[in-house]
This record gives sequence, C-alpha cells and structure tokens, in this order.
Amino acid sequence: MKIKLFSKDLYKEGLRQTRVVGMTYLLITFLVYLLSYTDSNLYDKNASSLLTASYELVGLAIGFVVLAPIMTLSLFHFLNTRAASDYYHSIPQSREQLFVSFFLAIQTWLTAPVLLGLLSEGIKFAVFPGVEGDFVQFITYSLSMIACNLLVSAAVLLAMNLSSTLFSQLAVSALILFLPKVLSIVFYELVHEKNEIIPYYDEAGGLFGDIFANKGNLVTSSTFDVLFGYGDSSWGEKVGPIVYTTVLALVYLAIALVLFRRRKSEKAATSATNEIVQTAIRVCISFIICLPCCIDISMQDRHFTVNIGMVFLYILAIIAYFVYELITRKTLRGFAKKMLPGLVVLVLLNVGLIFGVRAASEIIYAIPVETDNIKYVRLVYDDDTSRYAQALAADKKITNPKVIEMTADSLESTIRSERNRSFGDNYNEITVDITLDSGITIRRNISYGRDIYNLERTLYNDDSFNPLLTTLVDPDDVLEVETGHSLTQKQNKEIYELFVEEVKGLDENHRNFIFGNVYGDVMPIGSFRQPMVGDVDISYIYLTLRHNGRLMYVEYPLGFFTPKALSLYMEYANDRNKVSLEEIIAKDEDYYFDLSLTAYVPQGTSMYTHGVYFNGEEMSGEKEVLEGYDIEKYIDAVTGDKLPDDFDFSRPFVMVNYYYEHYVPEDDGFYVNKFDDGVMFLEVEDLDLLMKRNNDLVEYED
Amino acid sequence: MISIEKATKKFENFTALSEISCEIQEAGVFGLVGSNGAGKSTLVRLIAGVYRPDGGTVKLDGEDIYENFAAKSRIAYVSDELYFLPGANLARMSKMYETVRPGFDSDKLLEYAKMLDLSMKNPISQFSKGMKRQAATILALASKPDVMLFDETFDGLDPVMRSVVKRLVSEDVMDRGAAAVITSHSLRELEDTCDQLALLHKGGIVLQSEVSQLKTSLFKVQIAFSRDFTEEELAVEGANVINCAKRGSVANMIISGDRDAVCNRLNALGPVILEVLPLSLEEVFVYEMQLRGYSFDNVFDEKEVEAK
Repeated sequence: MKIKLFSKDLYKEGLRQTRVVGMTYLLITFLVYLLSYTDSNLYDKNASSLLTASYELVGLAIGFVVLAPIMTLSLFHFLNTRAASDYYHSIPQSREQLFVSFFLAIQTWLTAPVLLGLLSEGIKFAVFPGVEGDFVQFITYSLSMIACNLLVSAAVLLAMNLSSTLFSQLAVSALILFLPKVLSIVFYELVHEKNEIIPYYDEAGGLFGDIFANKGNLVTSSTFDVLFGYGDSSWGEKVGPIVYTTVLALVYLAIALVLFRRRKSEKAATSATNEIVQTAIRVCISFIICLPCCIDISMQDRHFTVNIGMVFLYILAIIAYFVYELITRKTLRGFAKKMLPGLVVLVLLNVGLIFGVRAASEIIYAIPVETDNIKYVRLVYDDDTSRYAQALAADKKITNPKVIEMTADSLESTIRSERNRSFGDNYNEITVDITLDSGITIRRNISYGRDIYNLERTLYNDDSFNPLLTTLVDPDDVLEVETGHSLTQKQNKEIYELFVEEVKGLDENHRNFIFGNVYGDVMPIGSFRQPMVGDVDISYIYLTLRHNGRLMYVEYPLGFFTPKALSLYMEYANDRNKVSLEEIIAKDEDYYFDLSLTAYVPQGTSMYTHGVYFNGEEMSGEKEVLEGYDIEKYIDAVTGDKLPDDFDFSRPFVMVNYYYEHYVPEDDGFYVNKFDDGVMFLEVEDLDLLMKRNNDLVEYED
Repeated sequence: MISIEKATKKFENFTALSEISCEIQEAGVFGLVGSNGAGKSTLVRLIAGVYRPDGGTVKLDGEDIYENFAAKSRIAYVSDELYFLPGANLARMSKMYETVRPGFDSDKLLEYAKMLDLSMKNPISQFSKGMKRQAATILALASKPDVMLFDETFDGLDPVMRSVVKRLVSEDVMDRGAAAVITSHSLRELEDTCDQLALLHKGGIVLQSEVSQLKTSLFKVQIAFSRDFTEEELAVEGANVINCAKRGSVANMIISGDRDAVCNRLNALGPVILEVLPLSLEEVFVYEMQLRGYSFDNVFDEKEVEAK
C-alpha cells in the first residue's frame, strides 16, 4: 500500500502554528545581515574585508541550541496532553503525513535564516571588491547548521515519542543527544590514561579512536568543544561530519516515526510509553551519577580502595533512581516490583565499564604489530590541522621499509616500557597510524628515542616523501597570498609567481631554507634542518588554499635567496607605505608615531642584520617641536633618500617599521582610534652616516 | 451505520469496556448514559477512531474506523476535555479545521457563531466553559460529518443554551441525515433529544432501547380498594408486575406490559381508584435494570452532575 508522507495542508498548518517563533527568528537574522552591510571595510577597496564563516554565521547556532527544541516541543505538544492527543488521533490524516509535514515545517523556519545568511554573504562576495575569504567555507558551515537543526529536532521528537511529560522529554532528549558522547569520551580517556600508547583525545584515530572518539556528530562536538574542549575546531569545514550528522538525524527520525505511528493516544501525559523505556531512562540518569565512581575504580591499579566520595555518589545514584520515578509518576506505589531489573542493569553497566576498560587495554596490547605485518604507516598531526604540509604528510602512506622497521621496533620497546612502568625510557614520542596487512589501522603514541633522528633522515631522503613537501603550491591553486603589509592580492600573487620561478633554480641547501617551515611542521623534531649562515628572511609568503575541502595554510620565508621576489615585494611595500606616510604627515592632528629601524649589511655572500637599531620615542601631543623631536624632520632624515625601484642586495639597506596611531575626537565627545603600520625599505650609501643622523635626532632618556 | 461488535478496551490491568455490542443508526440521535467510569468516553473514543479496540470490531458502514482516514473524515468528535490550539480564536480554529477536515464549511461556522453570539476574534481561552463547549460544538457541526460524537458536551451548558445547541444538533441530524451520539451522566438531558438510549455500567451495555418504547412499555399504576385485597390478586396475565407496594387500601405498582390490557384487567377488580401514571425515564431505567437483575443506588447522581 502506497503511503503518502507529505500533506501540503498539514505542512502549512505546521508553519502557521510555529510562525511566531519562526518569523521572529527570520526577522532578527535579516536585520543582523542588513546591519553587516554597514561595515565600512566592505566599501573600501584598499581595506581587506576578510570574511570567515565561523565569525559571520556563528549566531545561527541559536537555531539548533534553542529554537529547534522549542519549536519541536511546541508543534508536537499534542503528544503530551490527553485532550490534544485525542484530537489529533481523531482527525482524518495519516500519522505519517502529520509527522513528516509538521517536521518539515519546523525545518523550514530553521533553514530559512541559514539560507538567508548564505545569500547575504554571497552578495558580499559577488559585489564588493574588498571582500576576501573562501565562499565554499560558507556553504559547508551553512550545511553544518542545517544538519545540527535536523539532528536536534529529530532527537527531541524521538524523546517526545518515548515519553509524554515535558520533564521526561527534556531528560530523554539530553540523554539521546549527549549520553553516547559522554560515555565514549569517558571510555576513551580511561583507556588512554591506562595506556599511554593510545593518543590524546584530540589526536584520536585508528579503529579505537574512530569508534570512541568520533567527532562526526556536529552537535556534540560543538557543545563539548565549548564546554569542555572535547571538540573539533574545524567545525563547519568538513563534509564528513555533515553527512554523519545528517544520517544520524535521519536514523532518529525514522525511529521516531515508527514510534509515532504506533503510539496510542492513551499514552499521552505518561512519563514513558512503556515500562522498559521508563526503566531505561532511570538507569541512564543514575549511571551518569555513577560515572565518577567508575572512573575512580578504573584508575586504580593494584589495590582497590573505597572512598567516601564513591559511597556518596553511589547512594546519590540510587536516590536519583527513585526520585526520577517519583517526579514522573508522582508515586512509588508498585515500584518495589519494578525497580529491581533496572538496578541490576545499573550494576551491570558499572561493572561493564570498569572491566571494559581493562579488556580494551588487553586487546590493545594483544594486537600483533611486527615489521612483517605492517602495510604502511602515516604520520599523525592534529586532526583539524590547517597546515597544508601536515595535511599532505598525514595523507601519505609511507611504505619505506626502514621507517616500518623503526616503527615496529619502537612500538615494541614503548609497550615494554609501559608494561614495566619504566616511562623514563620514553622520549621523542610521536603519534603514528599503523595499517596492518589485515586492513586494520591502529593509532599509537610511539617513543622513537634516539631513532627519531634516523626516522627524520630516512623521511627526508625518501624519494616519495620528500618531494611531497618540497613542491611549491601552484599559484593557480592558491586562494589568497599575504606578504605582510596590506599589498593587494594582485601584487602578492605577482610576488609569489616570481618566488616560484626563483625557487626552482635553488640548490639543495637553499631549498632547505625555503622549506624550513614546512619541514618544521612535518618532521617530528626538525633535527636535520641546519640553520644557514645568512638565512635572513625579511618577510614571508603566507598562502591560503583549499585541500580536501578545508582551508589550509603554508608559509615560506621571503628573503635574499629569492632576490627578485624580495625586491618586488619591497618596491610594492614602498609604493603603498610612502603614500600612507605622506597622508599621516599631512594630517593636522595629534598623533602618536613610532619608528623602528633595522639595517641589513651584506658581507660576502651573506646578509647580516646590523647589531644596532633604535626605536623612536613616543611622540604624542600636538605636532610641535618637543625638545628636538620634530616628526617631519625625523621622517625626512630616515626617508630622505630617493626610494629605489630595484634593490641591490650587495649594498646595505634599512627596513623602517613605523606605527602610527591617533585619536580623532567625534562630535559626541568620544575619541575614535585610527592607526596604521607599515614598512619601508631604503638603500643607504653610508650606514654609519645614517646611524649618526639618527643618534643626533633622538635624545635617549637616562 | 455504526456497528460495534463485542468491542473490548483495556488500559493496562483495567478493562474499561468488555465485549460491548450495539448498532447506531443513521439519521438519529443515540444517547449513551452511565455513571463515572462506566466506559462512555472510552466507547465514544473507539467510535471516533482515537482508540484501537483490544477485541471485537468498531465499524462505520462495514469498515473499521481505527486508522481509516476515509471513515474518520465522516466523523466529528467533541471530547469531554476540549482541545483548541493555544491562543487560538474561532477564526484560527476554522483555518485549522479547513486543513484537517475535508468539507469543512467556514461560512456555516460563521453563521453558527453569530447565532450563539460567539466572537470569531477573541481568544477561545477567554471564553467561559459553556462558550468553549458551544465553540467546539459548532466546529463539529460546520465539519458536516455523517457522525457526530458529543462526549458530555452539553453537561456544562446553561438550560437556555443547552436547548439551543441541542436544537442545532437535532436540526442537523434531520437535515442531513447524520447520526449523533451524545453521552451524559443525566438521563434528563437526553430524554427529549435522543431517539435511542443505551445505559452503560462497568464497561458493559446493560440496557438499550428506543426511547419511545421505553416510555410506553413501563408505567405506574395506583389502585385503591374499599375492601381488603392481596398483592396476588393484582397479578395481570401477560404483564409483568415489577414492583408492588401496598399500603393500607392503596397499592402502587410498576408494570411492564400492554397498558390497555392491564387497565381492563384491573378495572374488572372494582377498584375505587385506578390511575395510570407515566414514569420518568430515570424511573424506567431503574426498574428495567431491576428486571435485568441489577440493583444499585444513585447511578444517575444528579447532585454530582450539578456540582460539576
């Protein structure tokens, strides 16, 4: 028999019944988005309006935190009172249509502001020249919000079909949403505490980590991140968690639909639809109170001792067991017969958790890991790393036999140390994924000890690993280039393209310098990178790109080994900041001005920074001579030479960093802070003369 | 139209209805009377399709009602505990009924509201209890169903309004040939409205009959003689003397049977006084119950109804 799931009329009725909350939410978000267009940076093509989804759309979290539960409880309120339940059972509409149509009505109100936000940000990206950022991130962030709305609504609806009083529904919703996560975190952390070869929760992975430290649930990962730090800081960027959260929501929804369909009207206003559900709720609430005791007992190694806190908590758990029954059923009559099975289950859960931790530990050690059965290894970094080099390295399956052998040996000795409790032998520890021939992947913290140096050297020399890290990002793949001082994207990209050309021609030593940051990110301790004489970087090239659906970053030094790129950068910096400085000087206002100067002196084939630099003293107050301080003359003195178009690094030059700040009085009597900073590069023929000039101008306080 | 065959309904360990059978015809008003806990509301909810029977069947024109949307679309149910959307007024409820009930006539609702002087705009939560019942009643009437179920709906209305609303229901039944089922504590409420009556007691129907037949089949006779007489003398062949109370020379009898035949027979005894008095429906029920072997006090507790 064909079942129609949707009724347009019921959907409209659902929209009507929730319209007050829904329209208020929509109106507020509309006004907030409208207000965001008053940001002056949007209209200033010289300003960089960096939009990030997490900042722009974070307010939408109110949707799944507050509004999804409220709207679901409100629209499906008829499950909670006899009169309403009877009415809805009497109307000639199928249960499926009622359920689905009402649910979709809720999602419509929750999704509309999200889509409105996406549209608003899209307009900014399309229309305003100064806007930067990655629009794809906005899409994934919006989808994450929608998935969270779905999951919370579905969980609340499932709770509403398991129980029929507001109190019990709120309790059950919380249990459905958070209890699995709480238990898995507790279990994982207990196993980790007892077995240091299991990584920290933040680095969890492998088979054990994927099961017990899964961060795919966007609702719990955001909640636990905010409350306890157990979350995913790349929330909203990845597609995987969106899919996981949505699928989980659909599972909850399907179960809720089955229960809704079977639910009898006479069950309205009862604390649970049947005795099994009521018992399960009681047991779960009591078990939460027992958790600290389980943790305490699990952590005890040899001698089991009972402390007063444990006793207190267990008593409290039993009391809660009875109190929940009393609150929800308003009586304990007949409870004597019903309470026992639940208490037995509660005891079993406690025992299960405690012994489960021990069993997990034994299993962990029992997995045989030898050189012969390792298929490949992977280096592990933060799961939500935004460093491109780390992401590349983490993706790389290392099959180098030496690396595999070192890994197997080091794991064995790490385990031996743990078993013998001789942790002093453990050092130079890194986290590694080991994939066995059986297909299982385990993640372990392994102390390589002195072998770490061999490991790094082997990786450095590995023909498949090294090029992975030492290939520059194609300029066409780059979303954004930064070089330090508010140059335009066009200029920065030009600099980077020149940089890429120059790097191609470098020898190995110089390339090591260029990729120093990359190696530093990837290699365990970066031991083999030797600092080079003269490896002075004036600035940096910071790239933003998209990799595996996420925003990533990589940084290269901009220095003398790529003189053309450096020269171009300095030229653009001068052009931009000379104008800026002139504007500052032209203002007839009070301001604070600070200058610092660094001199670069070539010696042979290397470049040294001169050991002397000075800072400008604080200049505040009116633009007058203050005992020898004259801003204009000061600036003229250090910038008096003509700005070069092309730098000759065989000659000394100075880098002048300036910072300018001043407070502009507004009509209302308050001051607005305006500031700017920049850098300029000047060639000087005689460095000593320059230093003398500066010393003449500046009087140092004693 | 509605046939209930050995319907049973249980709530956990409690049996609310036990193998109830009855037929409710179209174009008539069926009254269901009984004390608190008799099972009236449960039976009505079975007919409305709110409850699933645990045994037996409840059918509308041969089709099970529960989970049958076609059947439910022909039934309007006004519960004893009224339900309206939070904060809604009649206009809003009209919209909702238009959504969930095919054939809902919002113009008719307006007409009824004017007739009863009910505001379409004021929140129903501000209505008095009686006005709420009126509102629920006219919403049901405006749905133009084939079956209307009123569960103690009229019990909270003042006498004037009660008669107005009853008239509306009766006219609707006559005009459209619909069936109405009305439950009440009070026989007096149903006496002048219902065509058929059923008495529910402890989950079972103990008496069901046409109202007209009930009123004519049982009567009271007051007879007095100037001489001595015995109760046995007063036995009438072909009639059933349910109750005979002799005090001195006067006897009061409750008789079930043919009225004329009884009168002729008793007249033949030469009484000084012979009067046939009609019984109230309540009295009829009491004696009919006795006939069936039931004996109970205060089944229809008027005081309890009034206090409500």
